[in-house]
Amino acid sequence: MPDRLLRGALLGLGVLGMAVGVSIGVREVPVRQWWPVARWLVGGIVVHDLVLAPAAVVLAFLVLRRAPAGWRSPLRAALLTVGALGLVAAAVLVASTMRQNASVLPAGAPVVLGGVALAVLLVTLVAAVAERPRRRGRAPR
Amino acid sequence: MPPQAERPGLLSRVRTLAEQGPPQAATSAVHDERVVARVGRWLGIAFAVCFATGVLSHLHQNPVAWLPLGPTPSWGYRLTQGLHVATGLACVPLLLAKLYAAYPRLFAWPPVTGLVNGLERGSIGVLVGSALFQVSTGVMNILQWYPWGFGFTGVHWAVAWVTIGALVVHIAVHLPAIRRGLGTALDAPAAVEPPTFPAVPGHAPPDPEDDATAGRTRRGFLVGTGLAVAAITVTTVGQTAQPLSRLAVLAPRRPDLGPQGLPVNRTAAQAGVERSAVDPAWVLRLLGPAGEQGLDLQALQGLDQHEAELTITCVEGWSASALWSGVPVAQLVSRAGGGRGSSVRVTSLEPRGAYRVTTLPASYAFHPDTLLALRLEGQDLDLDHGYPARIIAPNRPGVLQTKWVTSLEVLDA
Repeated sequence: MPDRLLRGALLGLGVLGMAVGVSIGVREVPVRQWWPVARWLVGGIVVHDLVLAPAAVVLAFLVLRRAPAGWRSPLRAALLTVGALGLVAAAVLVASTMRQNASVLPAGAPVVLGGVALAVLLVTLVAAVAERPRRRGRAPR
Repeated sequence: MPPQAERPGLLSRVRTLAEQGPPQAATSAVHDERVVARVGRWLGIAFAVCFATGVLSHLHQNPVAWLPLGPTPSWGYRLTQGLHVATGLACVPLLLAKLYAAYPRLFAWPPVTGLVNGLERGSIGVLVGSALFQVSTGVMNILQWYPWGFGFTGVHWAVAWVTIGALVVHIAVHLPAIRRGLGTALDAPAAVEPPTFPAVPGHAPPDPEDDATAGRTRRGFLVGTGLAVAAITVTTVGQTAQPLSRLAVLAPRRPDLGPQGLPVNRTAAQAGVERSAVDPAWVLRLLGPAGEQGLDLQALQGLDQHEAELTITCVEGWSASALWSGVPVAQLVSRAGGGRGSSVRVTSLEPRGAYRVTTLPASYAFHPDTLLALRLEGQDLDLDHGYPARIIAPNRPGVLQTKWVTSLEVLDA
């Protein structure tokens, strides 16, 4: 299929998908809930532009730039894991203070934080090991 | 004493950053279309699987005549909803990695160069906003944390379509770059020159990495992203994959934890049935073509009982199997004068709630393992598991496995 046709078809499908979503929202979501929904949708863009992107710049400038070159990949892996697991762990800990059911969120804070720390350590070690064979194979200067 | 130079204000520094580009470290080899395309591929697959399994769950709860979903295979809903939550959680590190790899584009100056460019950046804004919305509210939902002031189910369904649509638009707009990125080796010379930034007066531009080193950097980042995805999967998937349950420190459930060794989603207290469910005068109302009958617990226990190993599966991703026993629903339908094509309206003692009245399609009602369960693991049902009687059927969403049943109404085919 010629490229222009494929891209045009994808564009049309994508716009249709978004229109289906908006239509479902208008039909099924009560009007009084539209503002909270919009706030959370825009909030995602605000979080990206004002929190995530600047945090990436700061981390790169303060941490990665100062690290030895061979440690940057494991550090990036560690920071990404801290970010991802940290966000979920924070949500778990906050939600566990509001649980109404003993079988929900059974792990306490020490288990959650200990598990995250162990996962970050393992990821860093594996990333460091994954980096090593290629460093050994580097031609001598 | 020479006058001290005035420190530039915040606005001035932001403008300088926008005009001169991100700091030296942000020109790392990671910020390359090859990395963005590869992470984007994984993220796209995760979103696609999450969307498809979400559609399946929606069809289970809102059946359509042209695509009937039934009780077989018995493990179907468990698999699809386990995948739904697993891929949704995998999107957390994948989204962070994609946004990190692509973030220098945010600092392009001017931000909009024309109508087409403006539409393109707008579509990315929709994608980023809706993707972050879906992933963050989805995670909070599985933790039963609702801080937002809107009903989760309907909004999640609507925004899922917006997200997948925005993703397809994104692919359409960037298809040439995606192809180029995926088709170029990580350590090959770049197919296109990466964006360069104006030289900062008084500062030498950074030495570019050689191709081999840059390739190692990119590969290292992709390995790190894969490891982060593995980490979040291992620490959560045990809520449905029982062998990994001890590692699931971030999972909202352990499949063996709860009354009678089974998790509970909605307790009797939350449902407001603590008194009505234990009322000694409770009677099951059985309605159908043969009229109305009342069957108390003793009468139900006197009917032919059937035992089955069945799974409770929640759309929040957790699932657990147990041994249930009770009266086959098919037997009750026949007793009420119904036939093989009859569906059943099931009503709960719950005074309110979206699922207090559900319909059991004929395919489920006549499956031999669909029970009006009275016992769990050889004991009377715990109050939180639906005492005195609940519906349990294979391959059915947990919200439709009605607890604290008060009536069964046989509907004509």
